[in-house]
Amino acid sequence: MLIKLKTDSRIPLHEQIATGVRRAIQEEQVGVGDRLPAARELARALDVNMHTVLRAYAALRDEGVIEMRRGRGAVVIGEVSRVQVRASLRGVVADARRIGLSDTDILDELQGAL
Amino acid sequence: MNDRTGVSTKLLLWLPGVIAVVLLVVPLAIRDRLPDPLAIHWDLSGAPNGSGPLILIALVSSVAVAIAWVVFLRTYRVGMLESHAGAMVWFLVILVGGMETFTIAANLDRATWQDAANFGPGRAAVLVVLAGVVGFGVWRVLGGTMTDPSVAIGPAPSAGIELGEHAVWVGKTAAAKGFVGIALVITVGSAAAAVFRLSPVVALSLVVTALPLLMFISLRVRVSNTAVTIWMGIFGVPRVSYPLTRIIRAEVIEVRPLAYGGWGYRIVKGARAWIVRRGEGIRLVRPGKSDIVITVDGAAGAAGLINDILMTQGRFVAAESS
Repeated sequence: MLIKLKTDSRIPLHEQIATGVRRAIQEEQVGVGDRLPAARELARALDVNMHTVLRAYAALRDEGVIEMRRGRGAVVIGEVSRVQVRASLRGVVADARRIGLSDTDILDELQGAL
Repeated sequence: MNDRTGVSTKLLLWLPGVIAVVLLVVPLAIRDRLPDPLAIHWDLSGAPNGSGPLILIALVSSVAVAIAWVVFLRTYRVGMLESHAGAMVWFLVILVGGMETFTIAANLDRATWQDAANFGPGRAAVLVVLAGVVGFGVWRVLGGTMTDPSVAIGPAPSAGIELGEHAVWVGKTAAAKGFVGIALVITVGSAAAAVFRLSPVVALSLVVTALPLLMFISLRVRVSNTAVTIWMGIFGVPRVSYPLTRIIRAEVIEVRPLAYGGWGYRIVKGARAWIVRRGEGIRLVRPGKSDIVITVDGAAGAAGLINDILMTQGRFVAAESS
């Protein structure tokens, strides 16, 4: 699993870490049941504050991608297919915003696709 | 097969097969002169204290040598094997062949197994030493310490990391399920032996076997911008760190354990290898020091990041193109 950070990017560091984990799941570099590196270990390797990593993990937990277990750290629980769909949707939303569609327009488009 | 086809090498290759047949045929051919069951175990004073059927002794010895020999030949044919497997086969040939020869000799022309001749611990010790010497001799004849046999697959990869980016790569790999199963059985066995206080020798030998197995059923790898760190087994011990300052390039390789003489921590000429399974791995090229070979899933990602970091630090050196 490769996680990269652009320190001069406008995207917050914790968001970049979360994106890295999502991509790793999407590309099947990590799967259900796999343990993510300990927050402290990852923070040290990436040269960021441990709370930045924890914030990324918390976001992933809220999305149902990982579970935080005492003693075992962060474990991947999200099914790859579900995470993939979510990632694709994020891409679609980003594309739609880029060409100037409003959130209502995007919802309309989604509704149409359903 | 280039320079390995000398008469002595041919003998080393084919003789174990002949010996496997001899170990089966000879005891059966002279069965009229042997008691059945045979004495197969002796106490420390040299008196027989255990017996087994003739056919079983002949079969077990023959099959043990035959299996080792087939593995030996197969690995040799595909160019994987160098000296290690040959040494192991010949060690086994001498040990098993010698045991059977001594056993047959001790039982020859005796009415029952209880009458078998003395087979003291001295002879067993002589056999072990002899087998060791022969094994070492074969190892030398077949080339002794070999060089790292893996060839880099494609050019050194990149993970697309640019200047100003921080990155970390984490990965792992696990041994084949069969290997893990055997490790668990031996571990449970050694625990049981300890709990039920079986023979201390059995318990100790099981523990000695179980520990390295548990150590080598999996490994974890982390690549950060300072070092490549690996954690062995389920306990993460030992943990070894290789600083990037000594590395000039990382390559993706296909690791064939037998080419390194087996699984675990392996030393070959010019490389140290951490092997838990067959398949993809990385090689850390370190001029002036041994290269490091590590089996890990997603090897291209790990090697890519290492190369990118070396590139941004201006220390990457590409392989000389041939």
